[in-house]
Amino acid sequence: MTKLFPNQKPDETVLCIIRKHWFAYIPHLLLGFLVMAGLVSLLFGFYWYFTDFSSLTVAASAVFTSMILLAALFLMLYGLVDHYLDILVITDEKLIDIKQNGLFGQEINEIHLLDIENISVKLNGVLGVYLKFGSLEIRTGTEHEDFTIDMIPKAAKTARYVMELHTKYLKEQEQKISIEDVIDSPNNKLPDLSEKKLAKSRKRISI
Amino acid sequence: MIYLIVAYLIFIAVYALLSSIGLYYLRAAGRGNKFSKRVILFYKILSAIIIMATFAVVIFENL
Repeated sequence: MTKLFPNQKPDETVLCIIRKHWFAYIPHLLLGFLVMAGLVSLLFGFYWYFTDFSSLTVAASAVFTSMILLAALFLMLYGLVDHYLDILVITDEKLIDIKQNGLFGQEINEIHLLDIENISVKLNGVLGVYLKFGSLEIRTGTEHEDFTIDMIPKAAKTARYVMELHTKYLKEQEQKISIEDVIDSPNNKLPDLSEKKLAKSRKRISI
Repeated sequence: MIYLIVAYLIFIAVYALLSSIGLYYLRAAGRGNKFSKRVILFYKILSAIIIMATFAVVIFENL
Protein backbone atom coordinates (compact mmCIF):
# COMPACT_ATOMS: atom_id res chain seq x y z
CA MET A 1 0.00 0.00 0.00
CA THR A 2 1.42 3.39 -0.94
CA LYS A 3 1.34 6.05 1.73
CA LEU A 4 -0.57 9.26 1.07
CA PHE A 5 1.29 11.20 3.74
CA PRO A 6 4.47 10.49 5.74
CA ASN A 7 2.99 9.55 9.14
CA GLN A 8 0.28 7.24 7.84
CA LYS A 9 -0.15 4.19 10.06
CA PRO A 10 -0.74 0.81 8.41
CA ASP A 11 -4.16 0.41 10.06
CA GLU A 12 -5.26 3.99 9.39
CA THR A 13 -8.13 4.25 6.91
CA VAL A 14 -8.30 7.21 4.56
CA LEU A 15 -11.95 8.26 4.47
CA CYS A 16 -11.73 11.02 1.90
CA ILE A 17 -9.37 13.35 0.10
CA ILE A 18 -10.57 16.90 -0.51
CA ARG A 19 -8.93 19.13 -3.10
CA LYS A 20 -9.37 22.88 -3.25
CA HIS A 21 -12.27 24.27 -5.25
CA TRP A 22 -11.56 24.69 -8.98
CA PHE A 23 -12.05 28.42 -8.54
CA ALA A 24 -8.69 28.57 -6.70
CA TYR A 25 -6.97 27.71 -9.99
CA ILE A 26 -8.55 30.62 -11.93
CA PRO A 27 -5.90 33.27 -10.96
CA HIS A 28 -3.09 31.05 -12.33
CA LEU A 29 -5.05 30.45 -15.52
CA LEU A 30 -5.77 34.16 -15.89
CA LEU A 31 -2.12 35.02 -15.39
CA GLY A 32 -1.11 32.60 -18.15
CA PHE A 33 -3.70 34.03 -20.55
CA LEU A 34 -2.69 37.58 -19.61
CA VAL A 35 0.93 36.83 -20.54
CA MET A 36 -0.25 35.37 -23.86
CA ALA A 37 -2.52 38.38 -24.54
CA GLY A 38 0.36 40.74 -23.72
CA LEU A 39 2.56 38.89 -26.17
CA VAL A 40 -0.02 39.05 -28.96
CA SER A 41 -0.47 42.81 -28.49
CA LEU A 42 3.32 43.27 -28.43
CA LEU A 43 3.67 41.38 -31.72
CA PHE A 44 0.87 43.41 -33.32
CA GLY A 45 2.64 46.60 -32.25
CA PHE A 46 5.95 45.27 -33.56
CA TYR A 47 4.55 44.37 -36.99
CA TRP A 48 2.67 47.66 -37.19
CA TYR A 49 5.74 49.75 -36.32
CA PHE A 50 8.32 47.97 -38.48
CA THR A 51 7.70 47.33 -42.16
CA ASP A 52 10.97 45.89 -43.40
CA PHE A 53 11.93 42.50 -41.97
CA SER A 54 15.16 40.60 -42.40
CA SER A 55 15.22 36.81 -41.94
CA LEU A 56 17.05 37.27 -38.64
CA THR A 57 14.32 39.57 -37.30
CA VAL A 58 11.60 37.08 -38.20
CA ALA A 59 13.53 34.15 -36.70
CA ALA A 60 14.29 36.14 -33.53
CA SER A 61 10.66 37.19 -33.13
CA ALA A 62 9.54 33.56 -33.66
CA VAL A 63 11.97 32.35 -31.00
CA PHE A 64 10.95 35.14 -28.63
CA THR A 65 7.25 34.38 -29.16
CA SER A 66 7.85 30.69 -28.62
CA MET A 67 9.76 31.36 -25.38
CA ILE A 68 6.95 33.53 -24.00
CA LEU A 69 4.28 31.01 -25.02
CA LEU A 70 6.18 28.14 -23.40
CA ALA A 71 6.77 30.23 -20.27
CA ALA A 72 3.02 31.02 -20.07
CA LEU A 73 2.22 27.34 -20.55
CA PHE A 74 4.65 26.40 -17.80
CA LEU A 75 3.14 29.06 -15.55
CA MET A 76 -0.23 27.36 -15.96
CA LEU A 77 1.27 23.94 -15.21
CA TYR A 78 3.01 25.36 -12.14
CA GLY A 79 -0.32 26.76 -10.94
CA LEU A 80 -2.04 23.45 -11.59
CA VAL A 81 0.59 21.49 -9.64
CA ASP A 82 0.29 24.01 -6.80
CA HIS A 83 -3.50 23.66 -6.88
CA TYR A 84 -3.79 19.91 -7.47
CA LEU A 85 -1.32 18.87 -4.79
CA ASP A 86 -2.94 20.95 -2.06
CA ILE A 87 -5.13 18.38 -0.35
CA LEU A 88 -6.98 17.78 2.89
CA VAL A 89 -6.91 14.12 3.88
CA ILE A 90 -9.50 12.90 6.37
CA THR A 91 -8.70 9.60 8.02
CA ASP A 92 -10.50 7.76 10.80
CA GLU A 93 -8.00 9.26 13.28
CA LYS A 94 -6.88 12.67 12.08
CA LEU A 95 -6.97 15.46 9.51
CA ILE A 96 -3.91 16.07 7.39
CA ASP A 97 -3.50 19.32 5.49
CA ILE A 98 -0.89 19.01 2.74
CA LYS A 99 0.16 22.29 1.16
CA GLN A 100 2.32 22.30 -1.96
CA ASN A 101 4.52 25.38 -2.24
CA GLY A 102 5.67 25.51 -5.85
CA LEU A 103 7.50 22.54 -7.33
CA PHE A 104 9.91 21.84 -4.49
CA GLY A 105 8.15 22.81 -1.28
CA GLN A 106 5.62 20.92 0.80
CA GLU A 107 4.08 21.65 4.18
CA ILE A 108 2.17 19.00 6.10
CA ASN A 109 0.02 19.79 9.15
CA GLU A 110 -1.76 17.13 11.15
CA ILE A 111 -4.49 17.40 13.70
CA HIS A 112 -5.94 14.54 15.70
CA LEU A 113 -9.73 14.21 15.72
CA LEU A 114 -9.68 14.28 19.53
CA ASP A 115 -7.93 17.68 19.52
CA ILE A 116 -10.71 19.41 17.60
CA GLU A 117 -12.65 21.84 19.77
CA ASN A 118 -14.58 23.87 17.25
CA ILE A 119 -14.86 24.22 13.48
CA SER A 120 -16.01 27.48 11.94
CA VAL A 121 -16.87 27.91 8.28
CA LYS A 122 -16.30 31.15 6.40
CA LEU A 123 -17.82 31.65 2.95
CA ASN A 124 -15.84 34.15 0.89
CA GLY A 125 -18.08 36.76 -0.73
CA VAL A 126 -20.71 36.33 -3.42
CA LEU A 127 -18.79 33.69 -5.34
CA GLY A 128 -18.12 31.73 -2.18
CA VAL A 129 -21.82 31.63 -1.35
CA TYR A 130 -22.86 30.87 -4.92
CA LEU A 131 -20.18 28.23 -5.64
CA LYS A 132 -20.26 26.91 -2.06
CA PHE A 133 -16.56 27.17 -1.25
CA GLY A 134 -15.09 28.60 1.90
CA SER A 135 -12.44 28.28 4.52
CA LEU A 136 -12.48 26.03 7.55
CA GLU A 137 -11.03 27.27 10.80
CA ILE A 138 -10.39 24.42 13.19
CA ARG A 139 -9.72 25.40 16.78
CA THR A 140 -7.72 22.98 18.87
CA GLY A 141 -7.58 22.56 22.60
CA THR A 142 -3.85 21.97 22.50
CA GLU A 143 -0.92 24.34 22.36
CA HIS A 144 -0.75 23.87 18.57
CA GLU A 145 -1.79 26.71 16.32
CA ASP A 146 -5.30 26.81 14.92
CA PHE A 147 -5.79 25.13 11.62
CA THR A 148 -7.07 27.10 8.60
CA ILE A 149 -7.83 25.52 5.25
CA ASP A 150 -8.92 27.80 2.41
CA MET A 151 -11.11 27.29 -0.65
CA ILE A 152 -12.70 24.04 0.48
CA PRO A 153 -15.62 22.97 -1.73
CA LYS A 154 -18.91 22.42 0.15
CA ALA A 155 -17.26 23.83 3.28
CA ALA A 156 -20.30 23.56 5.56
CA LYS A 157 -20.88 19.91 4.62
CA THR A 158 -17.19 19.12 5.18
CA ALA A 159 -17.25 20.80 8.59
CA ARG A 160 -20.33 18.80 9.59
CA TYR A 161 -18.69 15.57 8.40
CA VAL A 162 -15.54 16.27 10.41
CA MET A 163 -17.56 17.06 13.53
CA GLU A 164 -19.53 13.82 13.12
CA LEU A 165 -16.26 11.92 12.83
CA HIS A 166 -14.96 13.68 15.93
CA THR A 167 -18.06 12.68 17.93
CA LYS A 168 -17.90 9.10 16.66
CA TYR A 169 -14.21 8.81 17.49
CA LEU A 170 -14.81 10.28 20.95
CA LYS A 171 -17.56 7.75 21.65
CA GLU A 172 -15.36 4.87 20.49
CA GLN A 173 -12.58 6.02 22.80
CA GLU A 174 -15.00 6.33 25.72
CA GLN A 175 -16.28 2.81 25.13
CA LYS A 176 -12.72 1.53 24.93
CA ILE A 177 -11.88 3.22 28.25
CA SER A 178 -15.03 1.83 29.89
CA ILE A 179 -14.24 -1.71 28.70
CA GLU A 180 -10.66 -1.40 29.93
CA ASP A 181 -12.00 -0.24 33.31
CA VAL A 182 -14.23 -3.33 33.51
CA ILE A 183 -11.43 -5.69 32.55
CA ASP A 184 -9.25 -4.13 35.22
CA SER A 185 -12.00 -4.23 37.83
CA PRO A 186 -12.14 -7.32 40.11
CA ASN A 187 -15.80 -8.32 39.46
CA ASN A 188 -15.56 -7.98 35.60
CA LYS A 189 -18.93 -6.31 35.03
CA LEU A 190 -19.92 -5.19 31.53
CA PRO A 191 -19.95 -1.39 31.09
CA ASP A 192 -23.11 0.60 31.46
CA LEU A 193 -23.15 2.75 28.29
CA SER A 194 -26.02 4.97 29.32
CA GLU A 195 -25.84 8.68 28.52
CA LYS A 196 -25.14 9.48 32.15
CA LYS A 197 -22.07 7.26 32.17
CA LEU A 198 -20.90 8.52 28.79
CA ALA A 199 -21.18 12.12 29.97
CA LYS A 200 -19.12 11.23 32.99
CA SER A 201 -16.40 9.60 30.93
CA ARG A 202 -16.51 12.50 28.43
CA LYS A 203 -15.83 14.85 31.32
CA ARG A 204 -12.93 12.67 32.42
CA ILE A 205 -11.41 12.75 28.93
CA SER A 206 -11.70 16.50 28.60
CA ILE A 207 -9.82 16.93 31.88
CA MET B 1 21.65 33.10 -35.99
CA ILE B 2 23.59 30.28 -34.38
CA TYR B 3 23.54 32.09 -30.99
CA LEU B 4 19.79 32.45 -31.28
CA ILE B 5 19.34 28.73 -31.88
CA VAL B 6 21.74 27.80 -29.06
CA ALA B 7 19.91 30.14 -26.66
CA TYR B 8 16.59 28.60 -27.71
CA LEU B 9 17.93 25.07 -27.23
CA ILE B 10 19.14 25.94 -23.72
CA PHE B 11 15.73 27.44 -22.94
CA ILE B 12 14.02 24.27 -24.20
CA ALA B 13 16.30 22.08 -22.07
CA VAL B 14 15.42 24.05 -18.90
CA TYR B 15 11.76 24.09 -19.90
CA ALA B 16 11.74 20.32 -20.48
CA LEU B 17 13.42 19.66 -17.14
CA LEU B 18 11.00 21.81 -15.12
CA SER B 19 8.00 20.56 -17.07
CA SER B 20 8.92 16.92 -16.54
CA ILE B 21 9.11 17.55 -12.77
CA GLY B 22 5.69 19.25 -12.81
CA LEU B 23 4.16 16.50 -14.95
CA TYR B 24 5.65 13.82 -12.71
CA TYR B 25 4.03 15.44 -9.64
CA LEU B 26 0.73 15.70 -11.47
CA ARG B 27 0.84 12.04 -12.53
CA ALA B 28 1.74 10.95 -9.00
CA ALA B 29 -1.02 13.06 -7.42
CA GLY B 30 -3.63 12.02 -9.97
CA ARG B 31 -2.73 8.33 -9.58
CA GLY B 32 -3.50 7.65 -13.22
CA ASN B 33 -6.93 9.29 -13.30
CA LYS B 34 -8.44 10.63 -16.53
CA PHE B 35 -7.99 14.29 -15.63
CA SER B 36 -4.24 14.10 -15.00
CA LYS B 37 -3.69 11.91 -18.09
CA ARG B 38 -5.54 14.38 -20.32
CA VAL B 39 -3.75 17.41 -18.87
CA ILE B 40 -0.37 15.75 -19.38
CA LEU B 41 -1.22 14.79 -22.97
CA PHE B 42 -2.57 18.27 -23.77
CA TYR B 43 0.53 19.92 -22.28
CA LYS B 44 2.92 17.70 -24.23
CA ILE B 45 1.09 18.16 -27.53
CA LEU B 46 0.86 21.95 -27.13
CA SER B 47 4.55 22.22 -26.20
CA ALA B 48 5.56 20.06 -29.17
CA ILE B 49 3.45 22.16 -31.56
CA ILE B 50 4.97 25.43 -30.32
CA ILE B 51 8.56 24.12 -30.48
CA MET B 52 8.13 22.51 -33.90
CA ALA B 53 6.45 25.61 -35.34
CA THR B 54 9.33 27.77 -34.08
CA PHE B 55 11.93 25.52 -35.66
CA ALA B 56 9.90 25.45 -38.88
CA VAL B 57 9.88 29.27 -39.03
CA VAL B 58 13.61 29.53 -38.23
CA ILE B 59 14.58 26.90 -40.83
CA PHE B 60 12.18 28.28 -43.48
CA GLU B 61 13.57 31.81 -43.06
CA ASN B 62 17.14 30.61 -43.54
CA LEU B 63 16.63 28.46 -46.61
